[in-house]
Amino acid sequence: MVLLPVLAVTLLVALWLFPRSGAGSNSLVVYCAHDAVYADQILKDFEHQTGIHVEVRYDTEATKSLGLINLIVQEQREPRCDLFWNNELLGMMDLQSQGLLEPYRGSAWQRLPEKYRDADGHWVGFGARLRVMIVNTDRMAADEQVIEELVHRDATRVAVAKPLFGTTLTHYTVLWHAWGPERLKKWHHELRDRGLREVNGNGPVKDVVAAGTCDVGLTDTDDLFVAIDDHLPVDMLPVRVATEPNRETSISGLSEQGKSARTICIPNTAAIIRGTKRLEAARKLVDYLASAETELALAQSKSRQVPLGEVESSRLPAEVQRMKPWADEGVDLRPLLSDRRECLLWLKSEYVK
Amino acid sequence: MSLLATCWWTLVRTVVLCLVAWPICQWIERTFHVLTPARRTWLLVGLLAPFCFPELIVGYVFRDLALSHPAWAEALCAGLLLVRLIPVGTIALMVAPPAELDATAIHTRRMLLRSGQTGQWFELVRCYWFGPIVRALPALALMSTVAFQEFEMAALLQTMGWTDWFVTAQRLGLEQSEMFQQSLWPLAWQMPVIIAVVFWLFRRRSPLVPGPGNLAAAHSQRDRLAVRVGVSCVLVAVLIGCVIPLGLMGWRTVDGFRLLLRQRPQQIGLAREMGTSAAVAVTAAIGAWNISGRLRGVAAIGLLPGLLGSMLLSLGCVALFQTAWLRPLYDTPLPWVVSLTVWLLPRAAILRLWLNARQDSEAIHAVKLLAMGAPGGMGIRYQRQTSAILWHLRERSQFLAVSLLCYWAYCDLPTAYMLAPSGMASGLVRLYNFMHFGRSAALSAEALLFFGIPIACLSLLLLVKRRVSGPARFLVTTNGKLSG
Repeated sequence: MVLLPVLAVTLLVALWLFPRSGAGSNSLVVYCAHDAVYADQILKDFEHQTGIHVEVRYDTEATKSLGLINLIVQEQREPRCDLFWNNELLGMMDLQSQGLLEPYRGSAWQRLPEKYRDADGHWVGFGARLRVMIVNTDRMAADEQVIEELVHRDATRVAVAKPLFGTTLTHYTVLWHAWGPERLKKWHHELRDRGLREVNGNGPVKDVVAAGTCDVGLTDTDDLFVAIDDHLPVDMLPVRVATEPNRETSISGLSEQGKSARTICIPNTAAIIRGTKRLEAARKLVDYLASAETELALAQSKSRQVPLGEVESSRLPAEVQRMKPWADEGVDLRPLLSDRRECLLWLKSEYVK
Repeated sequence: MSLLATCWWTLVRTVVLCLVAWPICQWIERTFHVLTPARRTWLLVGLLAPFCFPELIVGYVFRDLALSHPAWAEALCAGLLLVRLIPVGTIALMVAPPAELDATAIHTRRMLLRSGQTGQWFELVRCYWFGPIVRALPALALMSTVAFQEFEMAALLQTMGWTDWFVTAQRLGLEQSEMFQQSLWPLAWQMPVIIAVVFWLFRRRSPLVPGPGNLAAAHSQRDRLAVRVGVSCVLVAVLIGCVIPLGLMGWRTVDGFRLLLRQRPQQIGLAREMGTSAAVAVTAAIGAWNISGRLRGVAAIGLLPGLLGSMLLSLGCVALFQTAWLRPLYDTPLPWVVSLTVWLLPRAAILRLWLNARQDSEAIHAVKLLAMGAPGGMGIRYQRQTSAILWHLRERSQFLAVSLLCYWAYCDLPTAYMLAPSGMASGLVRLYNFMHFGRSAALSAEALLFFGIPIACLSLLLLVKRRVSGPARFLVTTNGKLSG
């Protein structure tokens, strides 16, 4: 009983000191909001290619714990994080507005379209996901008209993630901007009153639709492909939002049509944290993450993320090629930061009173 | 939903579960009185198994079923929670002091009341209060504390609860001052129960193991029924809380092991994560065990924070170690160890009391005297034998108690997630993250290894110890007396 605590403490100290000694002392600390299942291999490849050791702290939507964005804000006086890999854009822009990001216009910044990069280089976007309607094909056809009828008839068969976090929050922000607060609130309350199934994330949305508990849901493409790879009976249609009011707008609100209708394409983003002591290594990683090589790797991974810069299109999987035109018509998210703040304030008052 | 509403919801669930669990605990406790010591040990193992089985695995395997319908999720969560509450209630009932008034006294009072000879109805109520109710209170208090603080399983099954409200609010950037202000609600709701538990912990002095008089009663019809019901309840609990989760995980796990065997970096990573979790758990468990032995009188207040649950404790520790004075220690394992130690303190105190009640101090004293008076020629062999007896009588139980504390610490998620320093990731957090993406063979294999290896190591240690010191052949009668 005496030896055991001594051994435990020694092991503990050794495990703590190991990454801080020798080569480990120069480790690049990455906060990664992207799912570990997809991000891990990319970061390992970077380590292998450059010899720079990466220490990652993950935060999936599922853990719902101290969000990495909050943590970066809290640690701003003594930043521990060198580079933030976010799985969406608007949270990154929030950090930018607080002056917590270091600008860098490297090779990755050069290759990306203007819509997916900050003009001063505070962040770059790469490998995007799309908001889609996931449909259980055993229950109904993946057809907008059929979905529209279902939503009118029985909202309990429709699943959505709670819109407080991640890409569902971005989706709501786009609706806030396009529809205005009043219409969004009315739509949201009406669907909830009619028994809309709200779950804790896009993964569970995929699960309840794939299992047939619900017939249709709003989710992201990476979650949808998990179900497709498991040979579950699902298919998708892109979510479109009309950016100008018109008569063709759908009443159900899940997706709209018309000339001004745009898809919601949400890129990963990478940014260097202001005050980093490993600026050069962080720059290398930004260039690596937003390179054609990584975009291709993300496209070929199980998440099938859509490249935003130029890549060799013949090497893209068929599903990604199908999504590429949808991604090109994605709504420009850059002007939506203030909408996000207002929308989040309202959602907080709805869910966390 | 507001914090107050979620608190109410959790409270209603807690009250219902405690009321359902209570008669079952009584049946099982009665079974303990009736069974022989050897069977009693098996029943105890069966009783504790669902409580010690990792919540994470239980939530993980039942997650898909819970997603079918929100009402199913609630029912499933309540059922699984009930399975975990029964051991808590039964053990608390076993270590509770005997009632001041037994069933005979209450029956007599009722007869007198009925015949109109004496007394009034409130005297009968008084009899019930000082009889079964006072005896039930500690067990109900402990069960309600466990049920009210439920976090991991409820989160995985996506049911409503005040703990979930806090993590959501925290992630949305709730100010720390506001968070602590809000945490006063659940704290205030738990405080009366918590104070009752602490008070009870330091009052309890009665023997735990029933004497031969109770065993003699084994032949009555009612006791035979008690054994059947009690054993059936324990078997059902083991089935739901351990066997089904293992079965549901197991069917694809072999493929997962094959996959893992091919991935050397994955093996190294898992081993490192397990080493980290184990080192933190052992340090915290031994710390909690030693501190709990020193908490007397007013110092017993030190047990209060631990009863608030690991999630609120972790949030508090984050805030504490981000103050200017303690910030240099924030990115070290210290906050993690401190938080776990504080969380384990009340559990360590309960285990200590339980062991004290079980230990036969006369027998231990006798062995110590024997050891001191060793005849000259018998030397080392004699010392070995006496130390083997001492191990069997005292140290083995302590070792198992600390091991249980270690395992609890090893399996605690909120502390690991919020307080692990960078570069010291806990495997638990990674497994938890991946579990939200659904079941896979590789994940099941990793989870089984992560939770199974510590148990295998402990079993191996006990086996080696038994080999080294030899079986305690000269031990022990039912009352713990030495028998040659």
